[in-house]
Amino acid sequence: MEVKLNPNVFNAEALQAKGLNASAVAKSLGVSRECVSKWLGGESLPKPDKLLALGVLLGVAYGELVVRFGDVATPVVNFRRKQNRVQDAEDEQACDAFATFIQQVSRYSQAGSGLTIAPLSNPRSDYDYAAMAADFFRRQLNLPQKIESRDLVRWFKLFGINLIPAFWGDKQYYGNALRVSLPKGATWVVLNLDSKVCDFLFWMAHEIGHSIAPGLEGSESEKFADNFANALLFPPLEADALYARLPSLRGAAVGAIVRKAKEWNVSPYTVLTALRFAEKRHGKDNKSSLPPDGAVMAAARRSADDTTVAERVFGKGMPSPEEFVKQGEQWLMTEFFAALAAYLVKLGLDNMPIGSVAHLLGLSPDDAYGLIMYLSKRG
Amino acid sequence: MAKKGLPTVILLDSCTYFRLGRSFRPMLTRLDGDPEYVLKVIAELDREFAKNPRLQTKFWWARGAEHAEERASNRYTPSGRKAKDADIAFSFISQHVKDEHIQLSLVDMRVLSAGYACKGIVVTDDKAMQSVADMFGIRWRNSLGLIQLMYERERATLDDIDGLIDYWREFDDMPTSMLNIKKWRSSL
Repeated sequence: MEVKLNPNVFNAEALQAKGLNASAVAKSLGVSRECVSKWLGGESLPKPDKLLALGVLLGVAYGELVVRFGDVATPVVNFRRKQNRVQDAEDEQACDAFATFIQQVSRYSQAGSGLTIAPLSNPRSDYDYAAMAADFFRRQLNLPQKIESRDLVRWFKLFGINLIPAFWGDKQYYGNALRVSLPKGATWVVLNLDSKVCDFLFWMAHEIGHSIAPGLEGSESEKFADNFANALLFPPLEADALYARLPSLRGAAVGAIVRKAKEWNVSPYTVLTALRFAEKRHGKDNKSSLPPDGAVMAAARRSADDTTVAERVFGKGMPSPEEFVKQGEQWLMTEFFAALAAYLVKLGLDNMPIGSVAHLLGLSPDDAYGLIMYLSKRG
Repeated sequence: MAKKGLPTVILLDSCTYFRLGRSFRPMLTRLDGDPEYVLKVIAELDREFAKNPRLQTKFWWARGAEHAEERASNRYTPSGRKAKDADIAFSFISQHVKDEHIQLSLVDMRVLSAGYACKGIVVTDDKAMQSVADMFGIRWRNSLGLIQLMYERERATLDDIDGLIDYWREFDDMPTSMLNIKKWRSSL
């Protein structure tokens, strides 16, 4: 990779326009005039501290002052903020930091060595297409009708997608999952263990949706992944059967939806969405027999099982590093901790990446320190 | 008589604040003397705290009104030219961190950028942060250095320091910085 000062930003005319010249720059930065002349002539590049000082003097950011050629491909990060909140610059910077760290750790991992995913050709995002894809996916992998997390974990493992368990809280900004696709093809998915159990399953299925339809982008990709997850976890046939019963249930319809959601390990919202599609299939758009959304969601809140995945796996409170690693490796079959341990050996104890580990996994600095010490001892 | 300048800002990184904040009251304070210092944190520390439930569990005390108010009223928020300089510094630091495969979180990079913009001192025990600070000419101290300064300026008593060591004894793993503080304390 070649790095140069941008001649459009750093030249004699541009300096003059700011009331500067080479001597003034040299004086301000504490370097010789010859040194600045060499920078202007493209013969040399300032050291990091002088480069930053030059940026501040000229009032320009790195991307404006420096041009880079043959840059190494960077990881692609995808996530959706909870309740579709818009991503801001802070999210992007945080995710960049996640991706950079994961990329470093991934060099010490075997992840990505699984089977190659056969992507859907010309995928569409509509529910009917996504349901067909979900049915094919279920048959291809011989999955049961009622899917559990271990079924999906097996799929991730089979196709070399490595899962990273994280504690991102229930009001998290990065939502329930984040996917990092590295330039060499390996994909890592960070899963939020502080999600409710039914949401967790949905987000795993959602991530699979993204993986099998890479041809879709943006909101179409999100729509497909949502529809795929919905149809995979609550099959259209089940939705049709429940829909057919709705007229006879009348006032008991809301309760039936909530019970069905519990039975299938999904949220009532997932069942309600599937019922809406069932209604469309039955051509009853104009005369709905579905209970109002508000009534379903209110009932869902009343009977909600707020247990999180972390609570189910670890109980209340923070697990010990040993337990965290053990469950991550056994239940999520992750190679992340083994890769991190190998990376830590390379870094040495004087360079422990406490901040990066804490930030990525949602740990306190001291829990991150504890995890690092445990992994360093375990090797 | 020469006009007295503004105090030098000392910015605590997240680890330093959470390790020391409970034991010294007030933590974010002015250190009288020559030169004069003022201890502050950046706004991103509170955002990080709000996003991280484990941080809230472990450092439950930091949720208390007393500490929250202390952070709110001693938050370093660059404005005007300094805000622009901090953003520029962030762009250079984050690119360097990426290029050199250095492990720094977003908040770490923000503290360094703010430290650069205000020509202040960053307090950190993180070796990676210290090396990046050296690379960009940002002044830094470790937590032991800060405690020694607070002790010299009579903002920390031996009782406070003993309380800090006791607090950290509750945890199984005592970070290196705490061991250094313990060693220094026993030499007094």
